[in-house]
Amino acid sequence: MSIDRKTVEHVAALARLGLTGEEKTKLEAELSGILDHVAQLSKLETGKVEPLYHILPIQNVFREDAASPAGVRDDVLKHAPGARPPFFVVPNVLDE
Amino acid sequence: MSKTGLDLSACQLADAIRDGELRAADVCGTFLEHIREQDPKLQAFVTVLEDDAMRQAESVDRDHSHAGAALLRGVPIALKDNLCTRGVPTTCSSKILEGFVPPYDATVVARLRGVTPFLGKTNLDEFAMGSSTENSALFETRNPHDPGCVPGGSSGGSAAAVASGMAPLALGSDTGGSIRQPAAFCGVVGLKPTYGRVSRYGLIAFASSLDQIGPFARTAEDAALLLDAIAGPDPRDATCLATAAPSCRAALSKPFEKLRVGLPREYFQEGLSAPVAQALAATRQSLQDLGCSMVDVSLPHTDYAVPTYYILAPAEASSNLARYDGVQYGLRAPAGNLIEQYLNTRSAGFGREVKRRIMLGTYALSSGYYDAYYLKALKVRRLIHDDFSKAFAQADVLLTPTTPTAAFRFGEKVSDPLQMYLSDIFTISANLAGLPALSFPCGMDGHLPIGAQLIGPALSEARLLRIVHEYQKDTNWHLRRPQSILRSPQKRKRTPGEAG
Amino acid sequence: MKYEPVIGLEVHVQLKTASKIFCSCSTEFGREPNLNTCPVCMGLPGSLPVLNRRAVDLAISAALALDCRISPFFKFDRKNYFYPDLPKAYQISQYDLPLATGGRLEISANGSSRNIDIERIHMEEDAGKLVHAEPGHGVPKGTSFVDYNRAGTPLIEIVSRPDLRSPAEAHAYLDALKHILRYLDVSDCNMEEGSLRCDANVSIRPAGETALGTRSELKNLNSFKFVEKAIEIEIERQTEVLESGGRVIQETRGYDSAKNTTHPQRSKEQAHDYRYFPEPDLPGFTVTPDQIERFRSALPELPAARRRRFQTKLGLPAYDAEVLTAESDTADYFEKVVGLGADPKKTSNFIMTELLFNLKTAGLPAGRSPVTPARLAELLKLQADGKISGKIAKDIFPAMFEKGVSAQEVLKDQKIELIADAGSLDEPIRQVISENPKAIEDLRAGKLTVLGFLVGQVMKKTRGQADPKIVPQELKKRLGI
Ligand SMILES: [Mg+2]
Ligand SMILES: [Zn+2]
Repeated sequence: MSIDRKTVEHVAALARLGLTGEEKTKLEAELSGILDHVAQLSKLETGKVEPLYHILPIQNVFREDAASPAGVRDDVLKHAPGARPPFFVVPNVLDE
Repeated sequence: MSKTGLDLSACQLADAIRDGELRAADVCGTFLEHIREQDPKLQAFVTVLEDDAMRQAESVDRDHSHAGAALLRGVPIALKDNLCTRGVPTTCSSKILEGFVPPYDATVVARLRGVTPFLGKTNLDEFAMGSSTENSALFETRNPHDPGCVPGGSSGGSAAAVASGMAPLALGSDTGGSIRQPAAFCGVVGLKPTYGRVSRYGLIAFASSLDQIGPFARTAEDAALLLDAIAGPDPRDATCLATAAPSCRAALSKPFEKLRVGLPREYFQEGLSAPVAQALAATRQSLQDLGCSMVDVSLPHTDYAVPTYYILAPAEASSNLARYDGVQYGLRAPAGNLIEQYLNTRSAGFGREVKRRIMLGTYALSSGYYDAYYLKALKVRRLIHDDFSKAFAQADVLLTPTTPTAAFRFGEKVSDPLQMYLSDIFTISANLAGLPALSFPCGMDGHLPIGAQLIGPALSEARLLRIVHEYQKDTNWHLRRPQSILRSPQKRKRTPGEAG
Repeated sequence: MKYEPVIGLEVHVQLKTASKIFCSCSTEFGREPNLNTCPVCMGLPGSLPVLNRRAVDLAISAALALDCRISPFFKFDRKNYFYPDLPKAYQISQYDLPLATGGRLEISANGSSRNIDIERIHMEEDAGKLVHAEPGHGVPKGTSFVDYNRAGTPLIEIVSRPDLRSPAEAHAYLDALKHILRYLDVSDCNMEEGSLRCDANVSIRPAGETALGTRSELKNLNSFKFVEKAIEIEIERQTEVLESGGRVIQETRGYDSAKNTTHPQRSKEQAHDYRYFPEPDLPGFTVTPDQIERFRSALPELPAARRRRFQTKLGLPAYDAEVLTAESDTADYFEKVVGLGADPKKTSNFIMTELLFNLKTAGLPAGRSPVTPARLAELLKLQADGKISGKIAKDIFPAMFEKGVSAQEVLKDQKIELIADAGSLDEPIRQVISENPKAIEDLRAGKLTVLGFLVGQVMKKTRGQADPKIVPQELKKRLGI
């Protein structure tokens, strides 16, 4: 399975990763190599195998509906980049 | 050696503190002093909590009301720096978490707070992605047995701290071998519990369906003590089992059952170094001497474990690490608008291996590829899981090497990601199957330790520890101390031609 | 060419829980920004979700009330996309195994009713809120403030089949949905507070065609009326596009209520690739047939069934039944009054004309009416027994409502005499007969129109306390006609 530059760029855009040209070139080769290795999975016949969604034999784990304050807001805002308490702040959402 | 504890096991320390023979503060002070001496050479710690640790130790000495309640009282511990600790920077050895100070404790940290003084936070491969700790964005941690070799990873800092005697106990996390492999490389005991035995709440996620927190210690008994302190139900983690965990330490004093030890033939094939093969043969003999019987078993899908893992783990990671975008915490790179902020922050904040895995995982989940990669991997994961179920019909535990070779040298594999990934070949399956697995020192390759791995059925931690406890009564591999660093107080330059 | 609109609605409804869907933060509306937050709903590293049991219970009730099939096994998935209101950069939602599938909702529009098919109902967490800040005070242009109070609020998304054929039907669908969900007390369905939000998928096709046309997705629809108007204007726009030989493109469009236009919106995601995968932090969920039956039997009688019962069993006209069942509170009130022996139609009239008006003015639901069902029943009995007139009943009601007292107390207060029996009309009628010989003569001659005048005179003598329904009969009795 070989990965071309366009795919690298598309995937990087999905993952919001800014990559340099050099990084892209390296990733083309590295990802292709890893996917070659991964390709051996396709040799396995799994038509009748149920995917394993959860390794644990447990289901129906709930919490009860009771509200309690965590009291961590100010602590989190104190360390948040560019925050203006009581808000978090982000630049230029509209101009995206 | 003075009676302040460096040479005592965690159990001995706990007993001495409980009986008033040692003060927790003196013990803590001794370890901190040892850290001041050794850590500049080893670089196991990202943060040393000198003042915090002393305060905690002093409060243990003052307050005897809990005596007996917590068996670990007063025994200091090192924490892998992907465990959230309230008020203390938690870095995951990544630049992207710069400035992040969790307002809460991970469940395991909360359970130990007030009981075991926290010596510090240990280095890891960035976001626990790696097998050598070379991927730490902060610095490399050295193997106490040979500063030219890696300590293993990703919990390299915790393994090195325990191996070098800077901490009697440490916590790590294991997603594909990140406790067992560094334990093997550094010559200590490392246990990955059954998935769901220990709460993951507050463990900064790498791959949620595989991650598990576990202990590092020098002896099986010490590991049992620490596991007992952290295991058990947690209402904050829906994947944590609701059944109470029975005491592993109590199980150690029960009569030793003669067990059927399975030897999966796929783990003893090409690629295994001669010293590792010999050490395993000797281990096998020791277990037979203890009365265990050996059974040949097969785990036919073993070859598919690495490819399955390298779909599932990066896929989950790509999603788990999406939150590092500079909005609420951590690094925020300068940018004119939001999209630039995302791109710049994530580009500047993540290291190469992390980017590689985010790319791989994003690709595997992206439109048109999900079925071929992710869904396929979930199906193979079931096959791997079922292999173990069949093997455990014939054997009570499985014995394998932990790694194909002893610790490798810095730079040896870091440029070839696939080679690095393949070094986890023996440890990954236990994560995929959610099973408990433990690595223990079983021999030496020159001056480098070799580890053997025991894998058991779900919730059989006590059985695994019981075997190693018995083994450690008759052998002394676990007592081997690093020769190179501890004996030489000065920073030492490696000379060419020196044994490597 | 004649075009037929094809409309499907995606409605997000906030479930009425005390705490969020995956953490213990309060869901209370209107708190200080970011106050209702914790490591989980802020997506702090290391935090994990645990599902709120009540959210599932409410969602199952809603799904059963909408005739859906509850999945015996359901799970959660991650929907991955970047946006600052989404703290983890993924939303925990449901993808291929949702809570419920295949239901229907009966709507009535233009005097007829029909069923609209529901495709699926799934559970998910809400995102936070972005406030686009005014520049100045060091805030650069375009800066947004983020408030995560709403992040993690439990939602169900109800997706209809594209079965709606007009803007009015879309409105009727929302009305019916709101009635049912409020009946169940599953949600407040308050669009202003964001506890109900609606997106509309709109396309048109030549009448008689069965294939679907290209649709646009309408967002920012802030009221049921705007939903209707936005769809209307979008149908017009698409019709113009097609008639001028153009092609409708699939896109998201926002509605501008001030200009009454729709306009293309830039999408949140450059490429719509949400990379769904099963949420590893939450094991799956199962519901047994027994549990489903228990939920089903615990459901209250739904508006449509109640409406039919009010018509058939209590003999109410369709209009009355509709009004009384619009809110379960009102219907409950009505049933209590009737249960105390009041006549259904008289009760219905009184509720529709007097009670609802007073409640609306006071901003109260029927369940909190100061005039309790027992007091209204007592008032209606006084009237039925002829002890007070209908007019008096209406006159004293506002005082009962305002002071929260019984009819007897108001009567005593205002010194209004009870009409003991018909005998007490003897004297006033005698006087009126003797004072109006001409009118009596006309009446005897068969000129019934003067009866009204004479009744009025009697009412005047009794200062309005006589029952205007009894007076004519008593008058005629006295005159022997
Ligand atoms: Mg939705
Ligand atoms: Zn919360």
